[in-house]
Amino acid sequence: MDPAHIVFLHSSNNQYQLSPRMDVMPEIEFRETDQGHGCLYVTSRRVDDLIWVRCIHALLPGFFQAGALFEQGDAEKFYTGSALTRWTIPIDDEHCMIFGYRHFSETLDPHGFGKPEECGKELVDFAPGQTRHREYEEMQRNPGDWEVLVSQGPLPDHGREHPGWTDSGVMMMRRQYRRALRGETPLDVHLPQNGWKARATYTFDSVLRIPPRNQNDAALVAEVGRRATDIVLAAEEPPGADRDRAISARIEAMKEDVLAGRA
Amino acid sequence: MTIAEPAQGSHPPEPFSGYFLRQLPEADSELTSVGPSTPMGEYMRRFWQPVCLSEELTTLPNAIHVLGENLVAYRDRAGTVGVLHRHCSHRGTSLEYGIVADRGLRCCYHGWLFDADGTILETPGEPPDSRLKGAFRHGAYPAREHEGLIFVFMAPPAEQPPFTIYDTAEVSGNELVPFSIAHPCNWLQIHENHMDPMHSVFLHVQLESNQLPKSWGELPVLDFRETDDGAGMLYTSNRRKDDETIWVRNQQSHLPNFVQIAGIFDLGSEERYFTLAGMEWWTVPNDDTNSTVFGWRHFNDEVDPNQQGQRELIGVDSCDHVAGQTHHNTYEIQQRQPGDWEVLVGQRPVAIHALEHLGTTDAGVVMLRRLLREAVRGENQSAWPSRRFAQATRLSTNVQDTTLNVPIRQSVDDREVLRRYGAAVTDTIIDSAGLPTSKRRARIEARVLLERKNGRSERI
Repeated sequence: MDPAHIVFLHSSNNQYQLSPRMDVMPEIEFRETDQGHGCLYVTSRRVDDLIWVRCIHALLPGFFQAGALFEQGDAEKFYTGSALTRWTIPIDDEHCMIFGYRHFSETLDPHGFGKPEECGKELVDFAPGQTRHREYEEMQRNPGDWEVLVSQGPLPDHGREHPGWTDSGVMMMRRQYRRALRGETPLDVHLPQNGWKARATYTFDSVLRIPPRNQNDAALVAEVGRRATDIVLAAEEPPGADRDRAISARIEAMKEDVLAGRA
Repeated sequence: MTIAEPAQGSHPPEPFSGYFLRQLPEADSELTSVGPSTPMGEYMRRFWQPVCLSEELTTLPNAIHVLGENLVAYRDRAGTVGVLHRHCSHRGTSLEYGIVADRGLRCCYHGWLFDADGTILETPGEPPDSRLKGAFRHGAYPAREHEGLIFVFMAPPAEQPPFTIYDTAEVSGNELVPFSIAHPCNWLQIHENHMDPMHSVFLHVQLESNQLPKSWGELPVLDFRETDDGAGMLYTSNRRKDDETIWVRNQQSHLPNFVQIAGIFDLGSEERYFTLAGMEWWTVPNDDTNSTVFGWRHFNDEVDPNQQGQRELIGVDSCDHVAGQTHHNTYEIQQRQPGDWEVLVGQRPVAIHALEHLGTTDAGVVMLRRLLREAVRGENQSAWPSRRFAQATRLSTNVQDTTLNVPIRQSVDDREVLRRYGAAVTDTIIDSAGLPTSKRRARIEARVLLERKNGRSERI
């Protein structure tokens, strides 16, 4: 729930661990989902004539999905879903293990950058610095998620932090955990909605050809991100190809509305 | 089950008493605990302490651990050295993964930029109108660089004493070569070793080790005294080098954790007066059970006339002066040729004073502990830097070697001869403190001349 670290940790010193397009601050929106038992953030950024909307969805406790990992945001596409599902599982108070799946499909990774053979026990195929298996000097020269997370200490003291606006997602999530522990939010959010066979999730990427049209491009970029996310959250089709096609069509229609200046 | 009690009143204890001696008493935490708010930890923080070598500040930050605090040292691209609390004040990531910037150190996680005094220079992801960065400061300590070592002052800035230069570094043509040595044990047992001259006889020479020249294996006549400034002590060791020559050596311990060590190589049998230090040595606690020694080895023609020093062996966790100084030997070598490292680390992570059996040759260690205890209890204000360093930043020291042509004579007690010459040299050194080195040397020469006359007239 920390979109700012993508811009710095993963894109600093010309060492792009994800897309080089991620090295400027995007428009950011945080939302509560799932009746307060989940949350998402939307980052929307200008890439030449395109607007790249990327939404990351998390469910309490410990469930998270990331969008396309090799997305460059430089070719139009209306909708793709999660490329990474993972659970953060505590072993004890000071150790945890992440388990999950990497998703492989033509639509998620049309250029075939992903490497299924590099996924397994303590091994994953995207971004350096995901595991402990590097030399200390390499960790210092090109730190990744593993280094910044583990080095916060076995049990970080929140009282010493100085959170800013960009930490709103982290603060929202901590509030949600507190409410959940008090029994104020429902525990059954992992169950499929509406009697479906699978739980619909909201992580997605959308890259839309919408050129800048006025001075306040940031507002336009943010609006497109907000509208795309509204469409994904409102979809009533059960998970599956039909749902993906329907969302795709609605986002394409939204793009035409935006180009035509329609609300 | 009842636990058997040892037989009462037996003295000495009965043999095979291992079962009754298993209980470990508490360590002497007043002197050995160094974390924040401990008496010794607070005392040590009132002094500039070396924390790493200049060469350890590269294009990468250096994670250091000092007096129980996790810190990070770096040199920014403008050359400024900074020492910061290690964890980013944003959300706690370690700044050891930070990026050395043109000015300051940048956290790798969200790009926050910290200056050497803890000012937050940038919080780049935050909105442009954010006032966050002006609202607090990151933990930082004053740092300075001197002759290849980085020093830090870890007490409130208002208490910062002037940075002190000791006269031992002033020999003309002297080169100071910085080194460090890591020890997985408490600081005090390392520091005490320098006020225990008797160990050199056994550990370093007699017990088949020959780690130092043979003359170190002669039993010395010892004297220990507190220094007049109330801020330390020195030992005098007087021994025969050969039938023609006696050797008077002084070594000085400055409270709390600094010592100066006289020459470490054979100075030959030529007469020499007041040859100054061979090395400086700070024993700096990382925490209660880890310590790193920092210092300089001296290279000049006086202290090493035969050029036995080896610069290429000196650096991070490495030094050239005696075998067995670091952890880099195999266990079998450590057992067959134990050196200082083994006997110091071998005293347990924190040596337990209540288990010791001290003898007369431990008088220096006992004196040092007493001085440290008086200092941390505030009973000796002269031991605190506000009093000590109020006058001068150049301090006069008493560490030296003198070798004198004094032939052994069958008719007199040679140990009394050693004691008298040792006292004559040491008294003169102390009386001449503050004078230039050349004048102190001349006074020692004159005093020795007088001693020779007295010796002849008294027929000893």
